[in-house]
Parts: sequence; structure tokens; C-alpha cells
Amino acid sequence: MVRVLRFGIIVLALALAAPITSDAAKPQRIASLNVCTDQLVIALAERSRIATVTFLAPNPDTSFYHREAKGLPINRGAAEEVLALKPDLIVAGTYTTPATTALLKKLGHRVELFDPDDSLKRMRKNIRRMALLLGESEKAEQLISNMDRRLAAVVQAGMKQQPVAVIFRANGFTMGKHSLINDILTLAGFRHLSAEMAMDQAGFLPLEKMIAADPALIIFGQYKPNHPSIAHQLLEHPALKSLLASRAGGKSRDSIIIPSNLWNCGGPFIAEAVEMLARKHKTLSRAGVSP
Amino acid sequence: MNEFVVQNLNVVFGDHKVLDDICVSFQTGSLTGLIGPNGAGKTTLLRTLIGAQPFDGGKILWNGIDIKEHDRHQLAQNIAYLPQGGVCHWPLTVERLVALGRLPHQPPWQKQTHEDRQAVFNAMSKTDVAALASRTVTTLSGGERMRVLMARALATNPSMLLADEPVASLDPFHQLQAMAILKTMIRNGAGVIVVLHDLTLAARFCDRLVLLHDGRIAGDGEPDDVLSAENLAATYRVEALRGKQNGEPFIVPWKEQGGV
Amino acid sequence: MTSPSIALKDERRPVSFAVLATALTLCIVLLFFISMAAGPVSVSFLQILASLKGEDQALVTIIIEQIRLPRAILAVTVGATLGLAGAALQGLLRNPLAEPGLIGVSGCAALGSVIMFYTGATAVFALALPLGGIAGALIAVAAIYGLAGRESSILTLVLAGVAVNAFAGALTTLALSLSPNPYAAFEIFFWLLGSLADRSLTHVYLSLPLMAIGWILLLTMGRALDALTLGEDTARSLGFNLGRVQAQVIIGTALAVGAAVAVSGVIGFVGLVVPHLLRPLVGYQPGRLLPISALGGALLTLAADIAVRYVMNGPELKLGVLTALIGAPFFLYLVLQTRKALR
Repeated sequence: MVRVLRFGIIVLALALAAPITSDAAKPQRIASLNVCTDQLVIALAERSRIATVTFLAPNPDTSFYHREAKGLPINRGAAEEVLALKPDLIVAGTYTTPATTALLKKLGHRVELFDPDDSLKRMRKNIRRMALLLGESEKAEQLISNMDRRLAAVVQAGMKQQPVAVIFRANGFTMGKHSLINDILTLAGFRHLSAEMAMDQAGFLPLEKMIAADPALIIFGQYKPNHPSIAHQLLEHPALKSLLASRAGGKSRDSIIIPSNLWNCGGPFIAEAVEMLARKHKTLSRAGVSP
Repeated sequence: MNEFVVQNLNVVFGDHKVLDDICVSFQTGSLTGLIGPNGAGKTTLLRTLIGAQPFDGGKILWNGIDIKEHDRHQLAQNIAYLPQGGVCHWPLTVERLVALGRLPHQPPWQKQTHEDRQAVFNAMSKTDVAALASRTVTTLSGGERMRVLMARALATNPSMLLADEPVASLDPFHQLQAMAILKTMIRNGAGVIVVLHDLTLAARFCDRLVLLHDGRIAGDGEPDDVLSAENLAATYRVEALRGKQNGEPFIVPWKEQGGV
Repeated sequence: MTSPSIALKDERRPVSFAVLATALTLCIVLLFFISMAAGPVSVSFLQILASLKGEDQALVTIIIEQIRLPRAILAVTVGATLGLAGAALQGLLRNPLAEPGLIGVSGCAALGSVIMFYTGATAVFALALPLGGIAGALIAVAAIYGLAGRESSILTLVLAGVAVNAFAGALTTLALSLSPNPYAAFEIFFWLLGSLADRSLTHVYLSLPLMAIGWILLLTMGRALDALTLGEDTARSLGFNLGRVQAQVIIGTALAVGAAVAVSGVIGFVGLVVPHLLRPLVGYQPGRLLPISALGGALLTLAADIAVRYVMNGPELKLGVLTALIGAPFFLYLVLQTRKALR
């Protein structure tokens, strides 16, 4: 009798414990200290569980989920702000101010650091890891499979030709071979100039070199027309205009602006960037781009 | 004959009247000594004549026309100014410096003409600096530099030369030489107004003396008359010893008034 | 009495003016072509000649005509401006240390340009950029002339320059920090250290007409500056209207330097080093120095602009850094010479 009762109690306890544990394991006050972890947190967690996101989250230039981020408590990466909100999970990037993250760890908080998304592979890993931490693995898989479907559609409709594309941002800053942007360009059917020039990491590309390399597509950094700077003035250099207008070698050249919030961070939304580029690819092919 | 006519000239610095209702005229053909104690207004008077000193009342006429209405260039070709102190900001050669005197006669962008070179050479010969032609001004002695600057003024071939204490830093030999040069200018028809402190030089070489004291004219006429004992006492506050050598006067200030 | 003469050299044989001018011009032409050939993409002299003749070689032509050519032209025009303005200011102020950078004219020109650029005025009206530079330069020259001018001591002039420079630098940094554009704060390096990289023909068109007017105003001042050698009163007696001379030098300097700095930032020391080196070769005459100093300034700036492309392996050095590396030791040398002369 006692043995049955003990057994029953154990079974009951286990039965009750299981859902309670999985609910209790889900963090209820999530603090994000990096704009890219902001994206994943907003995409995966319920709004009520988000304690704070960075001040860049509501900014449409830097954050895809800027609308969703409106109204959420904002932090500027200071330990004090974060502590005041009593988080039970802190997520940040490996490059977020080390002093801050170290301090938070020392004070006994759970801090999870994410490497920057420098490839599609890494991006998927980060999404899944975040999902695990937040207890939203199911949702993540859904988002990823939606994204993969869109990417597959692009790849299938892909053209044979592979024109060369280059990123050209303020001051001539460009991305390297080891970057998410590189993978996105490849998916959309382009060759990445930086990869061809053996530029592994991001860096500055002299205007002359860029022109001499003769890219078919120049992807310009986002330009704020109301806030002039010499860095941006470079993007309007007459030489670039001449290059884009040139039909040398029977090729046509074009430019495009991809909103930086679509691919500065990894997330399911990169599919939109891929689709934009794929459409541009089609236009270029029709206009007669020779590889 | 060219003439400066000064009518009721007033110059005020702050609340101090430097020149008070001055009426005087200067003609070419005459060596006029402008004398007077320190602070009498001699330099100021010269500067008003060349248009460097603004004045508060009165008129200055050159050949009957107000200098303010004269063509600057015309005036510059006829009137030369030799300031105190002998300023030269850049280490030019003597020849180049003297050649600056030809600027009023040179239209812009014109190279030196034969006439210019001749005038420069003559000026350097008269002041005995021809041998120094390629020397740099800054390497010259004080006396040599003064003669070079005088040559610059002469190179203009002016009809009127205004010189402010040109012999102050010269040794006796060169003092006499300089005064002789000025005398030669008079013989050639020019006029000279020279500020002097040396009363003997003033008495010996000048045809006429104008004595300034406290911004007013205290004497104007023959040296003998102007350098009277009363005038010396009233303006310079000195007593002097006088004498004559070969008919030429010498005056040596001897005693301060009220002194031993 | 002369102002303390700096660097009394014994070998003071002036070279024939025509020979000097021709030699400098030939060197400029040579360096101009070298400048066209210098850059991260190798371009041969043949390609340069072909492009200049009008042959279209597609992308190479774009690089040559749109990137290298404006850069070389600006090096010549900006350099000529700095050399000429330096010589003119030194002639007017009778002071061998007067130089647009040192006395704050360039710094204020940068401030004027920065205000025009970062407030978006240039987006509305392109000429606002050089006009802003000119306005700044005008205020600076007038201020310096008021503070120190007229046969001032070297000390007074330098102190006035330090004051104006400090003020202009602080306001420029402030203006840049207030700009909402995140890149603006770093662009202080462009404005205060100068650069000709990635300039376009647009910059040439914006700056050249105003610079040219400034050049004409300054180059016609030769005789007046010669006369000023003997002091202001003598210059007046030689027939020069001093008020007009001062105004013309001030306005000419402001126009030329203002327009130059608007497109190149502050490039210092050229106006100090070049007149000083060339003065003995023209017999120390301020008037003859003017065109020679312009040529010398163009030559020095061209040379420095070529050097910045090769000195470092990574990104280009800012032009002003190189001219400062040459000019600052030179300035120290002048200071030492002055101390010796004043003892």
C-alpha cells in the first residue's frame, strides 16, 4: 500500500514537474545588449518577456524589427541600466563591451554571448541557440523553414550568369569574404568582388581599385540625404556615375541600395535582401551582362 | 617753381594739440631747415605734407591744388620722403633698394628703363655708395645705410625732398657730405625741407629756418634771425656760444637754462 | 633698423627671374604627370597621354579623368594659393612668419566651410562651400590685421595666430560633433589635416574661379609690397594708397585661401616654407617673390601629394600630416634663428 502510494506520488510529482520545469526554464525577463541579439529576441520571444533592448532597436536604419521594438524599454549598454531591470537572462554579442558583460557575469547574472553572424551557417546556429535559450525552438524552426523556402525559390530561379557585385559604403567601406553579406550575394547569384580580391575581412576599398575591378552591380550604403558628410560624398563621386553609365565591354552596370537593417544582422528577414538582389540580377541579365 | 602752402593746419592726438594753426610755405630752390626741440611737431608736419598724417582742420596745397585732390602718382614723382630711423624690412641689395625710388615713375609691369638705371646710378654716385651696389643693406654701417636711403630718395629726381633727421647717425665727415649733397640739389632747382638738431649745420647750410615750438611756429626766416639768443632760450632752453669762421656761423649749445 | 633678419645666408645670388620661373614650371609639369600615374591602380604614361588626347579607354579613362586629373589640378591650384598667400601676407605684414595656416586664416576658412557643408547649405547651393570658406578666411585676416598687423613683432603675430587657430579649431570640432551624421565627428581629420584624395572635377569647378580672382588681386600687389619694404610712410610717399593695398591683400588672400581650404581642408606650412626657401633666390624682393612662391607652392604640394600615396602600405596619409612633418621642424629652425638674431 505504502509502496503504491510512494510510486503514485512520484508519478504525480513527475507529471506536475514536467510542464512546470519547462515553463520555469523559459526566461521571463530577457535583456539584450546588442542590436543583432535584439532582432532574435524580438522575433522569438513574447513581448511581455522582453525586459530591455538596445537604443538601436527602434531605429529603422539599424533594426528590421524597429516597429516591434517601439515601446520596449531601451538600454544604452550600461550595466546599471540592465541591473535595474532585474533580468534573468542577458544576451549580448561577443564584441559588446567586454567590461560590461564581465561585470554582469561577476554579479551572478546569466550572460550568453553570441558571435557575430559572419555566414549563413553561423546565422542559423545563432537563431537556434537563441531559440533554445528562450525556450522557443519550435517557433525558430518555423521561421527558419519559411526563410529556407524563400531562399530555395531564389536559387532555383537562378540564372547561369554570375555578375560581380561589390558593397560600397561611406568612405569606401566594403565587406569581406567572411561575412553574411558574402553568402547572401552568392545565394542571389552574384560573385562577390571582395572574395575575388582576396579580401577576407571588411575594409576600405580605394575608389580606383573598385572602378578598375569593373563590378556589374554596386550595392551602395544607405545614404541620409539630410545629414551630409564627406564619407557619404564619396558615394556620389562623378567617377562612380561615369562607371554606372558606361557600357564598356558591352556590359551594363547598375546600382542598388539594400537597407542595412535587412542584412547587418542575421535573421529570417535576410530572405528579403536575397530576393531584392535576385530581382536586380534578373534585370542585369536581361540588359545583357556578360560574366 | 613748385610750392607747398600750409594753411591753418591743426593736428590733434587725443587731447594734445601737436600742430596748432600752422601757416607756412615751402618753395623749391631753397634749403629749409625745420628745427625745434623734441616733441615740437617737426616729424608730424613732414608727415602731413606727404599725406601720411591725417589732420583735423586746415589745408595743404601743392602748386595751388589741395593735396587731397592731387593724383597720388603725380605727387610721388615730385616729392620724396626720407623718414627717421632708416627702416628696411628685407635684406635687399643696395642697388635694388635705391631702385625702389623709381617706383613712382614706373607704370605697372614695366621693366627698368635706361632712364631708371641712369637715375639710380646718378643717385648712388651723388651719395657715394656706388661701390656698395651689390652689398646687402643689413651688412652696412649706420652711416652707409643712411646714404643708401638718401640715394633712394634722390633716385626719384624729386623737385622737393622731405628729410627727417638724415644726419643723426652719421659721423662728422658724412654729416658734412650729406648736407653738401642737399645743397647741390638746391643748385639743381629742387627744394629741401630737412629736420635738424645740429644748430651749426642748420645755420651754415640752410637758406631759411623754420623754428617750431609746442606745435606753433616760433621763427621763420634767415638763420641768423631765427637762431637769436631769445629764441634759443624760449624754445630750446639753452644758451649758446657763437662765432664765425670764414664768414660762416657756428653755434654751440653751451649751457642749459637754469643750470650750472 | 631692420626687423630681426632670419637666416642671413651668405650665398644670396639671385637667379635670373625667367630662369627660375621656367625651371619651376617645368618641374611642375613633370610632377603633374607623375601624379597622374600614381595610385593603387597602375596606369602607364601612355594611357595617360591617350586619355588626355581624348581617346576613350573605358574604365582607365574614368580613373584618369575623374579621379587622378582633378587631384593633380587641385594639388597645383591649392599649392599655388598657399605659396602665393604666404608670400603676400609676409610682404604686407613685413613678417616672415605670416602664413595662412599659422595665423589662423586656413583654420577659419575650414570653420566656414564646415558650417556650410554640415548644415546642408551646400546641398542646396553648391557655391556655398567655397563662399563659406571665404567668409571664414576674411574674418580671420581682418582679425589678425586688427590684433597684430602693421610692422608688428613676431611674437605678437604668432600669439594672435595661436588665439585665432585655437578658437577656430574648437568651433570646428564643436560643429562636427553637433552634426547628426555619425561620420562627421571623424571628419575633423579631413578638415584640420587636409587631403586631396577622391576629390572630383566638381571641386575643381567650385574652387578655381574664386581662387583665380584671388590670385589676380594678389599678383598685382608686387610693387606695393616692394614699396612697403621701406615702411608705411615711405610707401605712401611713393604713391601707394595703403588702405587700398591692405584691403586688396586681405580680400585676395581670403578669396584664394577660402576657396582652397573649402575643397582640400587645412594644409599647413606650405605658405611658410616655400616663400622662405625661395626668397633669397629673388633677392628678397617681395614683389618678385609672389609669382615664384606660387609656383614653388604648387610644386611642393604636388610632390607631397604624390608622396602620401606611397609612404605607407595601408590607407593614405593625410596631406597635412606630411606638410607638417616637413614644416614643423622648419618652423623650429626659424625660431632658433630668430633667437640668435635677437640676442
